[in-house]
Amino acid sequence: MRIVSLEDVSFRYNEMDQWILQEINVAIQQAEWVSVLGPNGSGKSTLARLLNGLLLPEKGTVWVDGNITSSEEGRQIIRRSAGMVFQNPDHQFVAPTVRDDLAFGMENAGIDRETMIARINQVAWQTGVESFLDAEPHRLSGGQKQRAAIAGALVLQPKLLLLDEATSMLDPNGRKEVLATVQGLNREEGITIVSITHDLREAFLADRILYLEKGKLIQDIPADQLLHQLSWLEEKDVPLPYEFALLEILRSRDSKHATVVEKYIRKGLAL
Amino acid sequence: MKVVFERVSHSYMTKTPFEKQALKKVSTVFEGGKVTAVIGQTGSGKSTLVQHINGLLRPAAGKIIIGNREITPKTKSKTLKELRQQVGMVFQYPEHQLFEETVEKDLLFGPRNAGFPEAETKRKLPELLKRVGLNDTFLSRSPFELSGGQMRRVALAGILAMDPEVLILDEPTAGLDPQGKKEIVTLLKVWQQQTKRTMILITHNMEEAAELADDIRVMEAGEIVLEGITEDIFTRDKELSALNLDVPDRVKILKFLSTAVSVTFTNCFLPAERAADELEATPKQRGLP
Amino acid sequence: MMFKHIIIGQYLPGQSFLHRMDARAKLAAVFLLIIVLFLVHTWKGYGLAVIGACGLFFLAGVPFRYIRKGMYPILIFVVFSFLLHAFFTQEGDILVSVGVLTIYTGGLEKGVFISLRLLLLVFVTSLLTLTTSPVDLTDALERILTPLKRLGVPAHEIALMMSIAIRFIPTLLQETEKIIKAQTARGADFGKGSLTARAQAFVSLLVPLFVRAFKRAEDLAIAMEARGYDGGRGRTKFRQLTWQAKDSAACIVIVIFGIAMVIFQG
Repeated sequence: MRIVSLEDVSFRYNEMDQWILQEINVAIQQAEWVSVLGPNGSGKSTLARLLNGLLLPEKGTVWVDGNITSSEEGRQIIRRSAGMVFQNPDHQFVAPTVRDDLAFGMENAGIDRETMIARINQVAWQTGVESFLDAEPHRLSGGQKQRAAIAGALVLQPKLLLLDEATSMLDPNGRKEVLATVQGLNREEGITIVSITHDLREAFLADRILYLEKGKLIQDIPADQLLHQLSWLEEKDVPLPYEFALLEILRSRDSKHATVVEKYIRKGLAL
Repeated sequence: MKVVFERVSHSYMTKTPFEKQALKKVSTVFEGGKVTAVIGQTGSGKSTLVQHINGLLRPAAGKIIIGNREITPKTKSKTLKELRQQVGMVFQYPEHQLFEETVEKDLLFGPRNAGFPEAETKRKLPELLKRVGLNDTFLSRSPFELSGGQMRRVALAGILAMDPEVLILDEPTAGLDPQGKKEIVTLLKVWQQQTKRTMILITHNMEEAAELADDIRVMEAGEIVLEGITEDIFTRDKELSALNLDVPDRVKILKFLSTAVSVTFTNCFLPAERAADELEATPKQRGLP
Repeated sequence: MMFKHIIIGQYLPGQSFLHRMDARAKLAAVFLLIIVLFLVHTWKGYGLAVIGACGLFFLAGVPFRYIRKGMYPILIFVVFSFLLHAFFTQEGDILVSVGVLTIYTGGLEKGVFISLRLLLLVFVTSLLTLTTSPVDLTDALERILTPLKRLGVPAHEIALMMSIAIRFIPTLLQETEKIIKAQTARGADFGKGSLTARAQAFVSLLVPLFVRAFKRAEDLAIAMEARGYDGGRGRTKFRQLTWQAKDSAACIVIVIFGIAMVIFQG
């Protein structure tokens, strides 16, 4: 089932400016994990913000779970079906404790208190935040804050989770925590993931990879297939981490060991 | 310039129920002209340690010797001004400290505080910007209209402008894209090799530590638990993972491959090409004349 | 850690009578007590007020040193207004006269009253903040202000602003400390040095703080919008306040006490 579709989407902040995104066409299926790569300023974050109606396209349409972002009612529903986690753990925590923060989205949606309590308990368990539900944000680590942010989106029972460089400010352990949580949600709950990232290791946890350059979608390819064309990334000036470079060399020599390295990358063992 | 720690202790929130001993009688030497990386988990005391080198934090006990200067619990803060020019400190996300209307003014802030002759410093600015990969057209621009990566470079240049003998960097590439990371690492490497200054790098990124550092100090709960030259430390992967720390990518995958396909690599720091060679060669062929 | 002495939200968790009271009742009671304090103007009245304050203190079950800590910052203010009244009120008999300075009994009395009033004000508000979590306090404020919505008072927005402000105080302090350190490392002089050097140092602190605060506000607004926030309309509340019989009783007692005091103070 298709959950997201962007049809001929173009965006710019105003008519005098240059296009930030140009004629983007993408369809994303339910339970798929899609990573978005591209240099800074290529339009990645703008894309994420178009996906939950925080921004509206100048041309084209954005559909999320059967609703269109250009309609007011559509956006109301989309805000619940597309949860978003941002880059800075400190800049998205609204309430004085984790528990109150988890309630925030549900309060906005007018959900009754009994349901709020039930969902907080359920989601806290899923994301492993139950041990610090009553903690204040400044006592938490970056990884804990980002997991709380994920939980804060999950309480609205979204079908889609948008991660806008959600791990880029975390230390390695925090990053592992968050990615393990995301993997669980994708595999066990079938939640669709769109993750914007600079990290190739993270990107290759996904099923599919999009590559943006100067506002244009220049690559939309299954991750397994891109692993066979790593030179393409090198041409785009993306530094290849060691194991990717090794895979590339082994491939060029038709080595039987290439598959082991490929598995190592795809299973996220490098993280 | 050499930096020596002699049984240095430090506590936060002293005389409160939240008192925390952040450094426990730490003794170590940061060799002059070398790059030392300090690694360890968040909260292990890395930042506390390095903030003693320019007197931002005072030891509760012990002493720090920087060149021919000493910092002890009794050192007065007014004697530290000259030290702060000699020890440059680049904090995490240093672009947050930019505040002047133009890049030029911001770059002059440190040198002016240090009492450098203004005209001479100004003359050197274009060269300084070149060092960090920017050109002199940036001088008249507002630091706030630059991209994140450019702001980082300007902030870095603001510290290099004081011509420090010791440069301390706390996660200098955090939050940058891979290209940006690579460029910062390269320019730091070039700066260090040209000036032969002492560099101390705090990082979570083992790749960067491996790329830049001659020596490694591993911290855990306010103590230095491992120290040695980079290649030695990073091959002790079991000890590092017991401390919940990563090893560099190459060590990680080569260790993985050596069990997965039972190959023995000459060492775990091989360039990818050579690793591929050794992987191709069957164990029988290797070692034969 | 130069900010270690600042306590954010003085709240001391506990189970005393005052702790368990509804925050709205406490807020209303403090409001009433403040009015009463402004009506008291005799020795007898102040005597009763002090006794009442002691009673509240026992109901709060908080160690006195926490209240004392809250009073320190206003001590200089108290002394100043005492001296001001003592020296410049010319009522009653002359007590002492040294050179140009003459102290009248009326002045002394006024000085004592004003000081007591200030101290008691801080005392009761400290009791409120020590026994009520900041979250409950903002909640109570929102509920109390809600009826005023029709008059155009943005009750929900005020409460939300307060709770976000409370939540970000620690972040702001951490950031302040970080920027002070970063600029000190660049040779900025926050403590000593010439006036211009210090002024420059403060600019180097304030500009980054503002820039970061705006950035944070912008990010936070987007994050809130992404979670479906669009003002107070149709919102439900997760936190609940429960008004019990004892809350009504406490308010009634305070009203009676207040009226009695004002009437019988002589």
